[in-house]
Amino acid sequence: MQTELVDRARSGDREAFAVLAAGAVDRLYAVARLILRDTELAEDATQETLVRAWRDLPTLRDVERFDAWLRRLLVRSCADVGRRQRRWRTEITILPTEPAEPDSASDLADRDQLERGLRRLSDPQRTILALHFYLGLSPSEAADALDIPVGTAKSRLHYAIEALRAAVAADERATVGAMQEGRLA
Amino acid sequence: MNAHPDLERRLADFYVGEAPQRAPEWLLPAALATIDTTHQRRPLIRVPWRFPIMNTYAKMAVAAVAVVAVGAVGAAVLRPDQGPGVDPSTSPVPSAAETPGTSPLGPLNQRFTSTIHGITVSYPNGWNTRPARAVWDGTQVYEKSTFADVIWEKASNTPFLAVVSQPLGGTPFAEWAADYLAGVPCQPTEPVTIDGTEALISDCDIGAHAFATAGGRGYLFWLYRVDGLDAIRSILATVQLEPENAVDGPTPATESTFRHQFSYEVPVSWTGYDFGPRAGGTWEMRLPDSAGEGQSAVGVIMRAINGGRVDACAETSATAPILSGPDAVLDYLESIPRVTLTGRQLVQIGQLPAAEAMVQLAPETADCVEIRPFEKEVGIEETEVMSAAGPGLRVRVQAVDVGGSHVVIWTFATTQEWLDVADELIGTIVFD
Repeated sequence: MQTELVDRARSGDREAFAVLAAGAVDRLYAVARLILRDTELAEDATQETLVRAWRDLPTLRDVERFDAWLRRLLVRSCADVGRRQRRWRTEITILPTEPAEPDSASDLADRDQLERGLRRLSDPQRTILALHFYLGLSPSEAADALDIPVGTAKSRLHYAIEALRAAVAADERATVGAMQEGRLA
Repeated sequence: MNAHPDLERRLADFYVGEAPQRAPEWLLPAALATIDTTHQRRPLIRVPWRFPIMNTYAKMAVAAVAVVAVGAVGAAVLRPDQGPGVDPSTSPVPSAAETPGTSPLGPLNQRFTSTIHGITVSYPNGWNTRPARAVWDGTQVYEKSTFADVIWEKASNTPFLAVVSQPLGGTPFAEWAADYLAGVPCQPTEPVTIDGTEALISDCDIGAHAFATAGGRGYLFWLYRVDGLDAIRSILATVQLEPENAVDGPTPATESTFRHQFSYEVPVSWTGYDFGPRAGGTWEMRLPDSAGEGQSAVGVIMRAINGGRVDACAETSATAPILSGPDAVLDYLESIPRVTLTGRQLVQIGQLPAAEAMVQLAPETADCVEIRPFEKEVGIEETEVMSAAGPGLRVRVQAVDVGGSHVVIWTFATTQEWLDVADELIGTIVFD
């Protein structure tokens, strides 16, 4: 069914493309949101992906690979939008420095900590983490989406995890330090 | 805080909780509205998997040969701010007389002079230029054609203007233009004047096309992804046709900003190859998409290096000089964990003594995931090429000392035949 729609859309059938887009837009937006960590940028990247998909669909040779091809377009759009907006570094500089609420087992604090850690990562690192841990892509599938060699995808994933681990550990040290200072004050 | 000690599981859970279930309702209609006014791109002309006949020696014998002098390698340390997009043939508009009053694209206050196609044209600020590096073979033009001068909006990569020209060779101008547009959905052509000569313009599904003729040449202008004809008309108003400056034979020499000069010969029959300097002080040759899926079946990457990393498995490692002599580079590579060199031998490149070997890479280990052999200032081409080595891809490294520094040449090829093709090119290199 999808291959037929892709084939029709590839030949210029806008209605067929609308059906494909409707089936993909939620997933595209979710992944863009996880990569870009910003609602407006994710909206821009999702729109750009759909427009690029329509524009470039005649160049897709294998209709069976539509989903993987669309993922690749999304990754490129996220990179382009991120580059254009240059908001990553700005966001890094305005991170709140106060520790999270010292609520011992709070899920909220746990999520805040990961959020802060992710914002400290580079755009490519966040991208491969989202592809692997959210979409469940294997390193070879992520390599395909990112248009990089498998070896590079593996190493990028490895370093992204390590970078996140280091960021979370640094956050925990800061939290403990701030709590100790609070007790001493 | 550590209820989930496993960071990876925490992250997966986090993503599931964080990912929005639905896109905003307005997003899809907005995208579809944009699509309603967006033309689909014409499929690219695919480069064949290999030459119809692999007897490239024969082709070299009959083909005209281009001698190309280019800046080679080592630019990263000398001109780190100058990438391949910098083009010495561009300059600000010298006089207001060459600037049109208005354009939908904004003020056309930059000027580009083609080194191949015999034309000068203005373009807006914020657009980049990529000069043609080969003569046009008459095939369809797309944005990555090496034979086209391409000027594109930097921010989004589109829109772009592509310009090519070729001798009409006795074909009537109107017929020549119609031949090119055959099969392309276009409005009927309208007569216009470009630089005082007869010309045609047409609004096509894939963007406006204009054709001009002067000095027995036919010129093609393609403005992609700008609807209507106003924008291309404003650009055409700035055009100077200079057929006397056009090149139809060998690709001319280009100026270099790189430290090491070299020249090489390219049979003009090597249509579709992508030659030239790249960012990071690298010179590269590839046959794009020749292995399918965007991969090249053959490629050559060359650069000068200053030294090797003390720990090639660590991205942040310090670097140290490599002893002089081409063998020293291979000795250094062999000292890196996971790297195995086979078939080491002495050869000559550019009439200089060189060393070469085939490269194999053992599977990654916890201590050595990614190998970056040389100084960190340069790119990661070596890393990617080495990672790709395997049964389906032959990877060879060659080292030659030029002017007191090491030049390293990586060649990758899917078959021995493709390796031979690369060797034809490498065999023509002369270090100046």
